[in-house]
Parts: sequence; C-alpha cells; structure tokens
Amino acid sequence: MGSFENKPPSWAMALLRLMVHPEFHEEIQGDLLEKYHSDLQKVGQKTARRQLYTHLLSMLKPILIFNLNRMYMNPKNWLTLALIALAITMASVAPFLSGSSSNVLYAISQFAQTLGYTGLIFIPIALVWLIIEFRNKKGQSLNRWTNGYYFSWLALIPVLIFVPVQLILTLVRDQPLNLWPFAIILLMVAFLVYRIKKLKKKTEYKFNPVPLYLLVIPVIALATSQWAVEGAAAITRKAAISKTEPLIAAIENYKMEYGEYPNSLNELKGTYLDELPTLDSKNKLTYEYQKGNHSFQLRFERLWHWNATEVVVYSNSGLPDIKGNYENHPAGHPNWWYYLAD
Amino acid sequence: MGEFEELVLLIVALMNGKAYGISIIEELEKRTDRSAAIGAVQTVLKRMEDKGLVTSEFGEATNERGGRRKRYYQITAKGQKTLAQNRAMRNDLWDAIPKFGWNYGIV
Repeated sequence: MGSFENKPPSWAMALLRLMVHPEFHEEIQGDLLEKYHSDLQKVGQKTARRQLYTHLLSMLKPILIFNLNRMYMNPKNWLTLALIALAITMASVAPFLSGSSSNVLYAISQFAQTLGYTGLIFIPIALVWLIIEFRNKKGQSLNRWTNGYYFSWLALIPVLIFVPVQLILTLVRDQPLNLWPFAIILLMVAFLVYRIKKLKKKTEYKFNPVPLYLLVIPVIALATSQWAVEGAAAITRKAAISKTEPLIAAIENYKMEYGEYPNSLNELKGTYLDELPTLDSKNKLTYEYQKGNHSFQLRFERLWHWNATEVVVYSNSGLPDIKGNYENHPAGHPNWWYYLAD
Repeated sequence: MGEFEELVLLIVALMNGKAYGISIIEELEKRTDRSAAIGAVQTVLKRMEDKGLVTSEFGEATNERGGRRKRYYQITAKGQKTLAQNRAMRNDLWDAIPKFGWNYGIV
C-alpha cells in the first residue's frame, strides 16, 4: 500500500474544512496532507497523526477562520450602522432632555429602548447568519440559506408575533393605546419584507451587513437605555428639583406663620407664591403635595420606559415610603429621592 | 514587523517564487533549526499578503496533496523595501555598539 493511500483520519479533514475559511480550503488542506505524508515516512503513523493534530490546532486563528483580511463592510455600510446608532441614541434620550417631553417623543423613546430587550432574541439568529456571511466564498453560488433569505424570515417572525400580541394585550388590558410605535414597526416590517423578497433572488456573493446590524442594534439600545437615558434624566430631574426651591420655601414660611403645613398647594397662591411651578411647560405636570402630621412630601412622576414610571419624591421626614419594586436612589439634593415604579 | 514575520518573508524571498506553505516550513527548519505549525505560517502569509509584502498564485496539484493545488508566494517591491529597511536598522544598531566594550566583553 502506497503512503498516499494511508490517509489521515477523515474527521480531522472534516474539522479542518469546518474551521478554515472556504477560500483557504484548497491550499491548507493540501499543505496538511503533504505534511502528513512526509511525516508518515519520516516518523511513522503515530507521531505523524500527533503532529497532524498540532497543525490542526494551529489553524484556530480568526484570520484563517473568517478571512478577516477581506474588506467585508464598505463605507456605506459603516455609515448606515453609525446612523442607526445615532437614531437609537437620540430617540431614547430625546424626551428626557429639557423642554421636550411630548407623548410622541416618549412613545418613540420607549420603542427605541424596548429594542434593547426585545432585540436580544435576534442575537442567536444574527450570530449564525453573520458566521455564514463571513464564511461565504467569492464566486460561490448562493442558496436561500447562504444568501440570508431564510435567516431574514427567522429574524422577522418574532416581530410578526410580538406586534399583534402587544396590540391585543394593550386593548384587552384597556391601556391607553399609543399608535406611534405600532405605526413605526409596521412601516419597518413593510420595508423589511420588500428587502427580503429581493434577497430571495440573490445568487452572487456580496457581504450582507444586516446580521451585523441585528447584533449591534440591541447592544446600542441597551447601553443607551442603561447609561445615556439615566444621564439625560438626571440633568432634567435636577432642573425640575431646582424649580421647587421657592415652593418648599413657601411651604415652610406657611408653617412658620400658621404652625402647620398647608392642606393644599393652592393655599400658597397669592400670599406665598405667584404661580405654582410646573415640571414642563408642554405637559403641565405639576408637583403632587401630601401633608403629614409634622412633615410633608412633594412628588412628581414621568414615564421612563415601556413598563416603568420614574417617581421623584421630596420628604422632609427622611426616606419616603417607596411603593415600587425598585430600589430608591438619592436624587442629588437634600431630602430628594427617586425610584422606578411598575 | 515581528521576528517570525521577517523570517518567513526572508524565506519567501530566498525561495524566489517556489515558496508555498510546506516548503517554507521545511526551509525554516533547515536554516534556523526551529519548527513552525502550518497555521502559524499561513497566518503570517495572509497578513503579509494583506499588507502588500507578498503576492500569491495557485500552482500545480500533486498526489501527496490529494490533488489540491499549492499556493506559491512571491515577495513584492514593498516587501523587499521593508526587508532592506529592517536590515539597515539592524546594521545601524550593530554599528552603534561601542567597539571597546564589545572586544573586551564589558558590554
């Protein structure tokens, strides 16, 4: 039997094909076989096989697995990714910036922040799809798996289930229906269906950046929701708290004169205050006042995201009685706290 | 450029168009007495090709390669210039060593 017929284990060659990028298959498989046959004659089968496994392990390099030398993303793809990131960040933060808290902006912000949590379901699909995109070979004839057609539908199915379910739940629970997020999602779905149909006919290799977007969007939305929204909210929260300084001074003046706190803030109007402060001029959110025996509380609320409301409380008798499921935090001013309520 | 990258580039240059994965490993073992894994050599070759230091093209297939073609690598003008610069830099460093200290084993 000739030495060329003494082949290396077929699983090792199969593993090599699985590991190494298809564009390198021919030369690297050839090198591995040539080295194996050369070692076989010099050191025998046992050592030759051991050396083959060592060479196989040495292929575990990103450059050989994904062919990272190839320029996958063109400038237009990078620009799209940057614009998506910017749009998500701006949409999430917008209602928490000073003087811009319309219901539409809140709805869009909730939608953008929700992308962070709901988008996580896309990650396994996007990861497999992206690996296939990376492993596609120039000149290869694409089928409906390798061109991403089936993966796009797999990614769209959760959206097609989530939107009607959410709509029905909102109606069944008799919650206020905000049509803006649904309108945006429907427009996006229509656009995606149009793009997926075009993808069906794609047979020639060209890198598709969509799985990368599907991976990056939830990460950006989550990061924005966790840090940028909190940062912007802290600024407007502090500004709103500052507005209450004359109000708190007026309440204390009232107590000095009458020996007790007022029953309502309206009692302050005229003598102690010309006008009660408002949280923002558009929504006319005023501070709620609650009188205790020897203390009082001021509080205001605003939407935070899909399922939570931020409650900001002033309590001159120490830590307020928190009714939400979330931890309370100091709001940066004496006697002020804030927490998120369900 | 790392030491291993420079060694592989030198071997590609001296093999003058006959360098491919296994021949580079064999030449490296023969001339430097050090072994190298196929993955390590291929990684360096791909990286150097990306930097424009070498070019490559498919050659002939053989039985021992299971009918698969070799990919031959050749040094480019940019690769030659890089090697020359590295050599000049090393020569400068050698020339900068104080002769007195070197000759009497002080350095």
